[in-house]
Amino acid sequence: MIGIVREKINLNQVLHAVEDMSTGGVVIFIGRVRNHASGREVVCMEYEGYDKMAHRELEKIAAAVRSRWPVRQFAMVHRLGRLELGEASVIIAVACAHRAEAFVACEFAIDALKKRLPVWKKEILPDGEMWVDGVKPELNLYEEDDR
Amino acid sequence: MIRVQFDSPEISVRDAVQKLTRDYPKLKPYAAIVTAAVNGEYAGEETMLRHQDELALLPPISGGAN
Repeated sequence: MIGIVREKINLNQVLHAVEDMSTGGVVIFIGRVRNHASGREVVCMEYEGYDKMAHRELEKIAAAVRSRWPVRQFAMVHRLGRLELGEASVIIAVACAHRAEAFVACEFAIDALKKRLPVWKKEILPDGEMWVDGVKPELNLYEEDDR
Repeated sequence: MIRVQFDSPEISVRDAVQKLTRDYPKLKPYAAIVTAAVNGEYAGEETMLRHQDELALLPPISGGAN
């Protein structure tokens, strides 16, 4: 299950997608909207993305995760649009036979998302709005997978 | 989306960005911070563009939660 969506992410659906009787460890990461940033109160967040490319970048993360660790099931969903406080912008679920590789793979997946996904977010503040400072995409992230 | 006409059949991403900043001077401050993508794939400045290619110039990214 890989996707860029605009509706609320359903955690149960994500969990269902990684059901697998051969896996004993499932690590889930939920990134959600926080009520403050850099000391400012945040009212909500707005996410925009380059959809078609973002979807392909999620697929690349999935491929890299599977090539690096013995991941049996993998799900990753990122939401765009206006998100209220506490709502999930991203959910990642990694299922492996054992927990150790599931933890490592899940952390790699969220780090890769931060380095590659063409998505931008804006904080809506009580008295205005502000685009969040981003990072320059890391073009060589997957070079070691190609070798 | 903006459409730009080029005289040469093959130009690089760098050539395209240079022409865009000449035609649209307001883009100039952004030229150094954007990253190019061609047809939905990140692309270096040397990447050659062909007819009908889609070039996107992406500002620094900020997906995920904070």
